[in-house]
Amino acid sequence: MRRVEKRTIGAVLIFVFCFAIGVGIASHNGIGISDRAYVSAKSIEGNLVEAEAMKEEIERLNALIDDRRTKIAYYQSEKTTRAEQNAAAQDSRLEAMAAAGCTAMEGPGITIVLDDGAGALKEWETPGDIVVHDLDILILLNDLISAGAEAISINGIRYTADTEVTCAGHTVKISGVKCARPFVFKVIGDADSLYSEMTIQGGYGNILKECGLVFEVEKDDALHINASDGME
Amino acid sequence: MSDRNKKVAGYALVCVLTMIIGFFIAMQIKTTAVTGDYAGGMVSLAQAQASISEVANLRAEKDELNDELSKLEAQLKEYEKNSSEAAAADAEKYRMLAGLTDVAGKGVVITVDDPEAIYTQGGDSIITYNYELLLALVNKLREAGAEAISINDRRITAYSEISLAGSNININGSATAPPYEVKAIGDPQTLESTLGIRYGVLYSMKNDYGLSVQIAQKSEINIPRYTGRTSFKYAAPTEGE
Repeated sequence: MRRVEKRTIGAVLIFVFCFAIGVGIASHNGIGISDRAYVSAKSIEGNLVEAEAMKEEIERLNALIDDRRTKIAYYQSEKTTRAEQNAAAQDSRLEAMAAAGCTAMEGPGITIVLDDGAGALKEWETPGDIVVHDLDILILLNDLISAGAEAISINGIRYTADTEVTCAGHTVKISGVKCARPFVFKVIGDADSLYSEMTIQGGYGNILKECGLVFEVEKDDALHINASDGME
Repeated sequence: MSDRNKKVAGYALVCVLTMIIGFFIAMQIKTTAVTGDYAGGMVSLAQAQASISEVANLRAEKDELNDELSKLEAQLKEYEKNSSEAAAADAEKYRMLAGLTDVAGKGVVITVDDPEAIYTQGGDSIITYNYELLLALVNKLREAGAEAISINDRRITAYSEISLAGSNININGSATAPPYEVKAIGDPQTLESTLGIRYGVLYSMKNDYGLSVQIAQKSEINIPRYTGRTSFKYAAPTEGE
């Protein structure tokens, strides 16, 4: 009798245990079928990155809101004269013009000269390897902006939100204007950090140099950069 | 059955049960230890939902702030108009040109994503490490006459960089991850035809890099404003030429 009891208890225990595991499996599978129990960690990583970016965007929006509030308060203040209000409106216009690249700019920065290679071609090289391509200019522009450039022109053409760089045979078209070598970039910003970013080991300029192209960077404490032609 | 056989059967049973439990524990650990740079493996539904709802909450907060900002700017515009009608009209025009206003219109939406295998088997993101493809794409969109461009809702302006930052790319100073949704306002047909040429940038993304690329014409696209830096520390505007 005792033996049988023990066995029964054992069997019941195993039954309950297996039942619990079964439920576990079933519920996992159940979710899996209806709305995917497991998603790829890559997609969740995307969410985390997006959440972080939104927090930063919220900060920027709050800063803009503060700025607009301050400006409104200035207009509303009884101390602000009519003439001062007018001056503020003109400032606001100039600020927008500058942001659009429609004013000339002055300040310190760097100049870059980018040119085709002048040396003899090595056995494995083709002429295409030592000429400046549109993508080279695009990558340098992007690196300059990452390095904090505030205004850029290439051969006198201002870089704006609409600027495209396209290959046009022996020339490169920038904002629709044909430009020939050498390409001279004028860049306003923190001269020291622009210089070090653009001459950094393994940077794109040095890669071009290693390929035989000409890439020279110089600091300049007083640059003048043209306004963009503006409205299209 | 002898007692000995019974004993063996019992051990075997315990063994199997323990293995099953082990399997579940292992799975649990695998699903939770996925934060950090390398994110292979799987994530539980609860975790996924938590992150989705966090993003949703932040987006709601962002939208609210955007609305507030719009209201304040409308109010500010009135003050500017009252002070100088001409200056206010000009300012509006240039803000639009600079990418400082929300815009809507017809155009195309292009979605660029890593191959499926990157998601299921892990590994480095191809599109992220070849981000110059996105530079080339933006450049071609501009060439095709796009009037406004965004990547994952980050407005592309003259101040926008696309740079590698860890295992993600930064656009306008904020990290973003694939898939990259590129929106462009302009003539949809011209945009799609320009991008769709053989051996063009989308062709190269698909055939040389194995990326998944989709392009669709849309009659209504909303592109948000640029919210980054617009003041200058080193450059001083001089009016006129």
